[in-house]
This record gives sequence, C-alpha cells and structure tokens, in this order.
Amino acid sequence: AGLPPLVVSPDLLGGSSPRAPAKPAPAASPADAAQPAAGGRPAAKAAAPAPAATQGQAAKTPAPAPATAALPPGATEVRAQRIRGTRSVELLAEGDAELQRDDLLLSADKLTYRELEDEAHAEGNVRLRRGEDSMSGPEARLKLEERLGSFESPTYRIKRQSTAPVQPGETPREVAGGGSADVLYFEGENQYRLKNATWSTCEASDPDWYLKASDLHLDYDRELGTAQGASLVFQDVPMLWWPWAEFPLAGQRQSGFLAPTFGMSNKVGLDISVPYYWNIAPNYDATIAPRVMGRRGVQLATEFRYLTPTQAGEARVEYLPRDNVTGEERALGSFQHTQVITPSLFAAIDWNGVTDKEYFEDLSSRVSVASRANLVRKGTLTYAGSEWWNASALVQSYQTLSGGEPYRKLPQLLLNVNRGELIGGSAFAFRGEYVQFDHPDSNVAEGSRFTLHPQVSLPFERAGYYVTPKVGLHYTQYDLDRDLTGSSRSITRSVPIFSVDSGLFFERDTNLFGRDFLQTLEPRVFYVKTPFRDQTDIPVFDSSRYDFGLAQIFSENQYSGGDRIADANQVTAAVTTRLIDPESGGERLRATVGQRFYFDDQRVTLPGEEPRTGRRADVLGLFSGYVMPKTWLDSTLQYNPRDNWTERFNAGVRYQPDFAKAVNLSYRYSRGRLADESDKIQDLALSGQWPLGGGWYGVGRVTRSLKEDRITEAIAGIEYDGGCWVVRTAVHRFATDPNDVTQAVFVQLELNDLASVGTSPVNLLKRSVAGYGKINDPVSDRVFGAE
Amino acid sequence: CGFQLRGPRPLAFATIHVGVSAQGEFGAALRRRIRTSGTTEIVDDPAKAEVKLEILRNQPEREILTLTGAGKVREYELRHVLTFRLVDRAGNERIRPTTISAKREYTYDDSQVLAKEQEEALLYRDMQGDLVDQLMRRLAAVKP
Amino acid sequence: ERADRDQPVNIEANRVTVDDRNKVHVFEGDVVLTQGTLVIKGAKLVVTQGPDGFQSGVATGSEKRLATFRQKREGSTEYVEGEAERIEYDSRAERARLFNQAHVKSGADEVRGHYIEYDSLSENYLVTNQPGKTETRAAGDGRVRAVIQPKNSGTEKTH
Repeated sequence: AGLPPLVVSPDLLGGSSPRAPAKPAPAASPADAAQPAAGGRPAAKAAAPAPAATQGQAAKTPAPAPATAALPPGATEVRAQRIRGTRSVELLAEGDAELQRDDLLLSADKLTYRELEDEAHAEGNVRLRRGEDSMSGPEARLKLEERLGSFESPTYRIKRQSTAPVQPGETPREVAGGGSADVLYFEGENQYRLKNATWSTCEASDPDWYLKASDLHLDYDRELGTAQGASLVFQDVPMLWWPWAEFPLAGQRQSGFLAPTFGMSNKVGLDISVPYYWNIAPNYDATIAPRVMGRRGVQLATEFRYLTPTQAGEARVEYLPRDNVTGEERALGSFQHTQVITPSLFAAIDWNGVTDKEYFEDLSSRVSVASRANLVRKGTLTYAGSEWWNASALVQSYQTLSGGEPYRKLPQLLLNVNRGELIGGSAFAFRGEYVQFDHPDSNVAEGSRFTLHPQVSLPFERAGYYVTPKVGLHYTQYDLDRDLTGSSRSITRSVPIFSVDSGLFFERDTNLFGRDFLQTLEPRVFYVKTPFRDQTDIPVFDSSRYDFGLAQIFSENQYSGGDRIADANQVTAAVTTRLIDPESGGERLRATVGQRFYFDDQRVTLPGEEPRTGRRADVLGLFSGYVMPKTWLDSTLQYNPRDNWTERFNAGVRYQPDFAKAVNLSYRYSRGRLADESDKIQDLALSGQWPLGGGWYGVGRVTRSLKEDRITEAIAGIEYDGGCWVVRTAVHRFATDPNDVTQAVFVQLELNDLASVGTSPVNLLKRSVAGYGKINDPVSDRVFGAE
Repeated sequence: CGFQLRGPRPLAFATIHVGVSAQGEFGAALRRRIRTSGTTEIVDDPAKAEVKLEILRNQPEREILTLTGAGKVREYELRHVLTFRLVDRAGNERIRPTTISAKREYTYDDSQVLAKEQEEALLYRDMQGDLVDQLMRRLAAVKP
Repeated sequence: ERADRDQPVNIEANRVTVDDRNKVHVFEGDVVLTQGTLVIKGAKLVVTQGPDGFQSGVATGSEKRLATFRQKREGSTEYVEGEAERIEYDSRAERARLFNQAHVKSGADEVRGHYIEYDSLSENYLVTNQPGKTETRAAGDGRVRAVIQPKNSGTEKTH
C-alpha cells in the first residue's frame, strides 16, 4: 500500500503566505522566497551544486576528529573505505580497514566484525598492534574482549618491561622478543601458544640467533616461555636441543636449563658443564651443574641460595666421585650464612673446606680461586648495642692448603666502645678482647690473651683545623699453656700510649689547565709517644709489621694485631693537596707527601726483625688524578733516605676515552726485605680493551715479571657484538708455581636477555682489565669508570 | 699565595635522611660528619626529610694485584665503590647517581693471614673515612 | 518504526510551490516533515509522488545546518538519527540515502562517511567514501567510520 495521500496544511497553499501563527514566524530570508522553485527539478541535479558547498563547509567544520582519542572504553571503532553492516549483528569493512578497541588496533584489507560473538576476522596483510607489541600476517581471527583466536603464519614482536628489581634512579629494562610461526593462538590476555615457532630478542627480521620450537607457549603473566622440542639456532646452525626448556621472557632468571659452558684447560682438559637453574621460590633457588672434564671425569656442582627477611645464605658442594688422574674422590664444601636474630644481634657463619691441598690448583681454572692458600672457617655473633658500642664473639680456624698453618681463635670475644661528646668535648674509646689461640703443631706457642685498651681523647675540631690529643693504656695478660720454650707461664704487659693528631685545611680558588678548581692544602702532623716494653718473650699470634702506607703511618702502633706494641717517640708529617671541581665537589686530583721522624732507635721487634736505627723513616709520595682528559694516573713512591734507594714505586696510567675503550699501563716495583730477593717485585702490566671496528673488540692483559724475566699472567680475548648477541673467547695463562702454568680457554656465546653459553670470562676480564666494559650491558647500568 | 683557612660550609638543606645503617662504621662516621658540619639534622623518617641520600651501590672489593712466582697472592688491592644520589621530597635528583671510590694496596702473605686481616680492617676504615670526605664535599656542593 | 507508514505526513515550511503535473511539492525554509515517529528537517524539501502513488523526499541542508532525519527503531525505545547535506528518503523501501558529511546514529552506535545508505526495515547500512573518486588523505583520511558501543553494558539489558 502506498504512502497515504499527502495532506498539506491549507495555510501553506497559495504561495508565500506566512506560516501558521502557532509557529513563530522565522525571519524568512527574502532570498529564499525570491527563488522560484520552477517545476520539480529532478533530485539528482539538486545535488550537483551541493558538493562544492560541502567542500567549503568541510573546510569550515573540520571532518570529525579521528575518534581514536575520544573512544569510550570498550567501544569499537571501524574505519575503512567502505563499510556494510547490519546494526548490532555484523559489519564488513573493506579497503584499508582498521578496527580499534581500547589500546588494540587491528588493520587489514578486509575486516568482518560479528558483534554478537565480539569476534573480528581480518584478511589480507593483517596487522595487530597493542602498545608496542605487534603481529602481522595474512589472516587472523580474534575475540577482542576474551583475547581468544588465532593468527595465521604471523611474525610477532612482544615487548615487556623486565620486572627484575632495579636500583632507585634507574629505569627498568625493556626486553623485546619476537619471531614467526605457522600459527599463533591467542589463549587469553598475555597468553600465546605458537606452533613451529621461532623466538629471539634480535630486532632484525632474520635474527642471528633464535629459539626454534615445535610448540612454544609464551606466558607473559609469569614472563615465562616454555618450548617443546626446542633447538637454539645460531647463524642458521642448530647448536643445542632440549626436549623441553623454559626461558625468561623479560630477561630475569627463570627455572630451566642455563646455557652450557665450554672451556679448555691444561689441568682438566675439555671442560663442559650444563647448569640447571631451579627457581624453587622467590627467595630460594638452586643451581645444579654436572661438569664433564676431559681428563678428570664427571663432577657434580650444586649451589643453593636462600634469602629471607632475617636470614641469607649460600651453600655450594662440588663432588667428583673419581678423579681419573689421581684416582681419588675429591670434593669441596662451602657454606655462608648471615642471620639477623634481633635488630641488634647478628650471626654469621663462613665455612669452606676441600678434600685435598691441590684441589683448586687441579680443578679450578680461575686464578682468584686457584691462588687461595687458606680456607677460612669462621662463626661470629655480633651485638650492636647502639651507635657507640658493640660486642662480638668469634670462633675461627683455617684449612691450610700450602705454607704454614695460622693460629685458630677458639674463641675471640671483643668489646668496642666509641663515645664522643662527653664532658668537656672529650671522647672515650675502649677495646676489650679475650682470645684463646690454638695450634695443632705442638712445638708452637699456645694460650690465651686478655687485652684492655681504654683511650681518652680531647678532639678540638673546627672547619679549618683540628687538634686531637689522646692518652691510652694498653694492658695485656697472656696465660700461655706453651710459651716459646714449651713451658706454661703468664706474661703481663701494660703500655701507656700518648698521641697528638693535628691538621689544618687551607683552600683557595685557582685556575689550572684552563679550568676553575678549588685547591686545598692539608698539612697534618701526628706525634706518638709509647715507652719501650720488653716483649721478646711474647709469642707472635697475630702480629706482623704494617706496610708503609699512608693509613698505616698515621696509626699509633707499627704492628698489626696485639702481640707487639712498638716503642715510639716519633712524628709523622704529611701534606695533601687536592683539586676539587667547585660545581660537583668531585675530586679531580690528589697529591700527598709524608715522612716520619724518629727521636729514638727502634727497640721492640718481631723475631728476626732488624731494628731500625736511622732518624728518618721512608718518604711516602702519592699522586693520583686526571692528569689529562680521560686519563687517570695513580702512583705511589716510597723512598728510603737512609740507604738512598727506592723501597717501593708503583705507577699506573689508565686512558679511557669511552665505554669499552680503555688502555692501562702499570709498573710495580717493590724492593722487598729478604736478602734472597724472593719477595722482590718488578712487574710491568699492560691491559686494555679497544674496539677493532665492525663490532669487534680486542681485550688483553700481559703481566711480565721483570725479575723473573717471564710472563706471569697473560689474557688474550676477542669479542664480537652482533647486536643482540655477543661471542667472547679468551685464553688465560697464569703461573701456579715457578715452573707450572695453568692455561685455560673460555668460549662464551651470550644471547642478550636469554642465556650465556660458555664459561664466562667476564669476571676475569673485569678483574684484570681496569675500565673493562661489558659491551652488551644494557646502557642503563654501564659503569663508566669512577668519575 | 691565596690560601685561607677553610670556613664552615653548612649544607644547603635543614633535614636529611641517610640511607645507610647507623650500626655500620661508614654510616656512623657519615652521621657524625653531617652533625658537625653545621645545622643539618638527620631524620630517621624519610618522609619528613627535606632530602634523601640514597646509596645505590656500596661494594667493598678485594682483587689480586700481583702473584708470587708460586702463583700465590703477593699484593691485594682493596676497592670500595660507592654509588649514591640525593633526591629531594619532590623527587627530583639534587645529585645525579654518582660513583665515588677509594683504593688501597697492601702486600699479602699467607703465613700471616691473621695479621693481614687486621691490616685489611685498618685500610677499610681508612677508605671509609676517605669516602665520607668525598661524600661531604659533594653534599656541600649542592646549591639551595 | 513500521507503523509510521500508515501515519499522515505533515509538513511545515515557510513556503511551498506545487507542480501538480509532475506531482512535485517543493517546501522551503525550516521545513519539518513528520510522519508518525519519522521526522525530517531541512532548509529545503522536495517531495515527489511516485507513479504508484508513493512518496519520496529529498531534504537538503543550508550553509549553517545539515538536513536531519529521525525515526524510532522497530521494537526498541531507541531512535535512529541521521544528518547530511542531502537526504533522500524513499518511504516505500523505507530507505534513506545520505550524501556528504553523512552521519547516522542508531542507539549508541553510529556510522559516519561520505555516503550512507540506511535501510530501516532490515537495519542494514552501507557507508562508502566519495564513490569512484580517490579521496586525497584529508584530515579524516577520507575513510568512513563506524562506532559500535559495547552491547553487554548493563543499561542495554533492561528494556
């Protein structure tokens, strides 16, 4: 049936009669009226002029602003060349189609969105972007809210912030992982499952290394990747294969196989270990590493760490059932534990032991370990009374691998008091000690020592100067079960010690090398008066002569420990000047010259020590600072004016213009005290790290003993930075005894944020090459040398 | 020659929270120096402090310097590296993360391990004094 | 709403000129056509009587205001509203065609583009760009838009 006949209100007929009074007569624009609508122009033509108007109009009222910003949460906006749809049922968008929902943007040639199932189906160069994650491929199907669906042969990249704890002031690192797959299934927010997929942290589209897996599950809630039938492919060479492996998605440690380490050394032969890291709980973890040694056999090394609010500790056990070379069973045990019992009562245990003396020399290829002669076994209990006093009890012994065995302290009780701002500005310090020295060797002295050492000082400190007179009494009582002659006796010694420490601080603004500096001049004078006490009968438990260093020459006693209180009537004087950057307060350069003047001959000596007779001690000169931009010089000179020779001279120059670019040259000379010059040192060491161009870095260190005219330590290393991976190889030779050398090779392939394969020479390089920069350290925590 | 006696240089903030325990020697020595440097008061509650001294890295290290012919340690180098920053209540960094360090060398002899332990302790205390000096100069350089 | 088809059509305007031979009425000046819940407004409305007695109207907007149409949706309290520079309404097919700056809002959902065809019976719509001509990437990058509000929100379920 047609439209009912058109009813035209009568008042309208007959031309330009004004509108019905009911409606306020609009200001009828006369122009309109004048335009006679002659005859019915076909509608289409009427449209013709309109577009021009729209264009003009469009300019005035800008096209609707892209709604992305103003889109209410949960709303879906579709943009395309053409959209066809049925309201609240379905919508088909074609031609440069885009679907936006909250922070998710799906674009494709053709997009179908079924509203009831809230599912979008995209076909033709599909791209899915959400924040910085992106996926692209030929076809995808996704339920937007539930994040369920699939993506056909996608390439994907997902970036997350690492949740590893980070220092305040540092930005958390971002780790991006991606790759391609036959199909990717969306299994909920942050959950993806991929078939025949690759995963890598390399940015490039064809990554240098990737993890290939038949089934890959990416769980970004727990930031854990799980791969079945996984193989690591490096430069298209499959290197490792795991039936099942877990790996971190945001760079932090996860349970799972760590990358195996490769090494070679003349002591153990081929050296492969495959560590498994077990993240038992947030504060418990363990590393179990079977280690295959070509010449020695299979060893199992396990390490267990724990951290609770009140306790922290680490236990390490290495067990080698049968050493093919020696035929013995060899093992190592090491246990460190610290505990806060109450806010002021702390306990600590440090126990180390090995089955035989050559354990480290034979089985360890790291010099810091192989050179250990005494393994400490110590238990301490410390009570921190308050800011000004604390007490501690300690039990300590050693397993000695080479040389003489030190005394055992079974136990040592200590009380320290340090109270300032007392009457008249005075300060009181007290050190009380009771220690029982024990030794397995029966013809060596043994017994207990009880010491009381009160001191009163009157510190007079102002900004520009200080004077601190101090008086102390050092009382000691020995109850020896065996003295030097083997008989038991008791010896007491009480020595008053008087000292005055004083110093001035001068400053001036100056301009050197074209820069403004605040220069200081700090003279210091330190007088000590300690009367002579005969101590020849006192056995030496824990005393030896201090080195002649700046800190040591300004201490009251020349001997460490408590068995010798040096007689003293001497003045030590030194003057230090510093150049300080006025802006930051940083110290650019420091020079010190000091000497001691004796007024008496030396009378207290250690057994076998030559007493000094001269009036002037050695002169000590120190100089360190930035002598040139990026160049740090550090040198020490100890000159003996009596015999007119140099006792010790060290000088080291480090030129470090940039990160991972450093050259160090150091010369160390020490005359030594023994006639046979066995303790003489004359070493020249050159070390450095320098980019060789094209991502290659050379690292090296050579230490030549001029005395023995041979190289005592040499490291040569090459590093290549492949963008998202680094390969490092280093050869390390160091002397383990006059005619035996340990030579070890380290090979390490480090895949950024995934794992490092191979024995890590990084600690070694950091120790031996000052200024060494780990080239794939994330920029945020690169330590660019001190100031 | 232009040198004058150093005058007192109070710090540019009234209250400071020191992010290192008072029990340790370093913490105690730093607090003493701040108290005697002028009017600045040490506050235990970080919220009440005008500025917070945050210690980002406080790492004593011991490295082998030279080896004897027999491969045993002949000289050790002690290093104490301290990275810190100063943040005010509004959160902006009055001192960017800065690293200061102190180094001491000493000869070592395995047969005198007990004695060398005490010498090591003496050197650590001396290095901490050095770090406190450097830190105080840095704090004094902060403009109000 | 379907019932609108049987309602009388009431048109108000400032002027009307009638061309009986072609059965064309041209209304001008604040034209308002109402038929049941259907309301069409515009600066000018050309109503043509089809050969089989059917009506179709072409409303065009003015410089300042676009032509608009508004109609209640079948079986819902919601309304469909549309605006464009020119709206062609075919009451027999109950189909509206909107040209230039076309914008149709149906409940909370809306579409926007250069040309919109909306069939109120089936509630199908087609939104295209300038047919044929390749649009330069103007500010709105020349593409059409559709915004669909979440339907599972609470209010929707009550009616």
